[in-house]
Amino acid sequence: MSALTFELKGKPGQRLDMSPLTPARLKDLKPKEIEALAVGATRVALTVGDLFKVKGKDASALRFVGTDARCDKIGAALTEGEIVVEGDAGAYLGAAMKNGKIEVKGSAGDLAGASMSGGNIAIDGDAGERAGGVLVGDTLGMKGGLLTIGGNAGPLLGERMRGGFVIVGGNAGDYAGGRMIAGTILLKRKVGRFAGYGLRRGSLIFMEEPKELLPTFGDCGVLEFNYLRLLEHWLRETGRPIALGGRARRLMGDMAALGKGEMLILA
Amino acid sequence: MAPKQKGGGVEAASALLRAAQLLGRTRFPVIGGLLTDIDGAVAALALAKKLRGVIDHAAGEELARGSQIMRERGASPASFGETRNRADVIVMVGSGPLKRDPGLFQDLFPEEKGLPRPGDQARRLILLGDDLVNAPTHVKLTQVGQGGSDLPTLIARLGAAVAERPVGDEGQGDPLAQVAESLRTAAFAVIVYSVADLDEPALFTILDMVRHLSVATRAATLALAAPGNGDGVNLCSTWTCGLPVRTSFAGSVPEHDARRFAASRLIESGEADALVWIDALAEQGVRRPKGVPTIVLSSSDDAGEGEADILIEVACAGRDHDAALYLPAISGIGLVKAAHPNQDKPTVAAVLNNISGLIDKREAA
Repeated sequence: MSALTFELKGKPGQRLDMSPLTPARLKDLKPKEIEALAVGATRVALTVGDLFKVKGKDASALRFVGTDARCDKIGAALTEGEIVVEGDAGAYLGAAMKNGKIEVKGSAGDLAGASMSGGNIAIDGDAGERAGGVLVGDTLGMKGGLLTIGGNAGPLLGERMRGGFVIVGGNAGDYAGGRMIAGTILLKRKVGRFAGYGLRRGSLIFMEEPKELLPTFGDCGVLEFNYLRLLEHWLRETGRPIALGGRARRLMGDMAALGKGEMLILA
Repeated sequence: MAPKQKGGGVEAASALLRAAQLLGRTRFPVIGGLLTDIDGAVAALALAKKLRGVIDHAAGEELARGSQIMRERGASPASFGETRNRADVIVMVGSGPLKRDPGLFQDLFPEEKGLPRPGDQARRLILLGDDLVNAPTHVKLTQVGQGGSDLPTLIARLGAAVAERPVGDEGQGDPLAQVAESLRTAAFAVIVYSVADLDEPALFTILDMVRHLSVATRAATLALAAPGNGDGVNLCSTWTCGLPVRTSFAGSVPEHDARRFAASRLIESGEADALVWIDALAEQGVRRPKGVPTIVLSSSDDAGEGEADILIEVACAGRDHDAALYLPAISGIGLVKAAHPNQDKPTVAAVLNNISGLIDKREAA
């Protein structure tokens, strides 16, 4: 069976709320019922049928084609199945998702993977601010799962993160890993100012030394970490070969918060 | 003066009718500015709900940020009076609070002897960051970190010092360690800041500091009120729909988003298709976003005539008519008697309720 495909017919005149389009919600619906689902975000009612050409049958694998930065909440609260986005995604991509897989060929807006607790999000392009951060109404950021950003991440990446793993292939903005409680962020390129601000626990791994380090982190010197070797092994096994080596300079902090977090700068 | 409409003067009723027509046709309007009293905010919220639009305040950015802090972490705020009467150590974060309220020093440190307060230390002021201008001579003042580090870094260092966690090689001679000691030995320390000056992580660090101090002594925060009755409007929004400003009523339940529902962004991106801009407090320097059909309710005499599609003159809250406004001095909402009672112009609430009624009539017809 071919993936259930939603192809955007034209640029929508308003933001869209795509949260009804998840495998769990669509699997028992008939094509007519799917086309009648409301996805508008203003008082002018818009349905799936108004905006998308719907093809395919397999609701366990969804494809969104031609979407843009106004398509919010793609895969929000996802619990199962797979979503492929051939285009950009708006805000709240995979926010509060529990399980499943989302792949975005373009870029994503703000709060991608916010407060997610499981599953896997891979964004080929950039992510807006607060990726893996705190969803409005929640008190914790990402709690579990894997978030990969191929391009750059905006400010407040992984804010108040409670668990899970984030990989950023490009640069990250200010306050990366701000107020983290647990979890790991791997940063392959540059970061903005105040990385690790308010870090309580959790790990920030830098492949490139940050330009500025907060003075509230204590330098513990260069150490050997078996953990890094294990991580490199796991990354290779899961198809993400990233050479980490086993040595890193370790800084503990943020002493303004609990001070039990760490920044590892690969040596 | 009669209410104006683009291109010349027309009767008040006609302006209201045209406003109702314009709004009746919109699909996603923004009610912005909201420089108005509580009655005006109540009417604006009702209109936004009817039109399924968005409400935002001119100081929406800092209001939404302040609400986020409160929502995610909670806070221990002190009232202005409590700070003036009972705080022995006051830490001011940057010169932002002074820029917002130039009389702040005089109000917090009155020259005459005040009410009995906890502790026996002399009252003192510690200024974190920026250079200070016009400090009153009777105040014992300590300045730390001026011209050096940025505020977030200073706050982080102070946070570490307050919690007595080691930071680098700085020893007891570090002025921030001395400030931290003053805070720990204070009977009641208050940290004064303006939300507009600080990023969220820095604000959270301040709250953590207060929480830490409160284990052994008393400490609290005093955030300066937002301009333009922002806190009053934000409270009104919260008690009306459960959410702060920057809330959309388009869906089945109200939805708050500090970024997506910012009035300026909605208008620049073309997502909103009309703006009702309320400016009825004679505030200076408030910029109205431009680019969509706009209805301006203004109390100022030079209210950008010719720029708005429909301009409706309204009374100034607290000047022309009695008004319920957020009063920083009492850290709450109070009634302000009209300074120069004048019933020539309608109130914001009356105008919005009228427009709302006309929209109903139009829809019923």
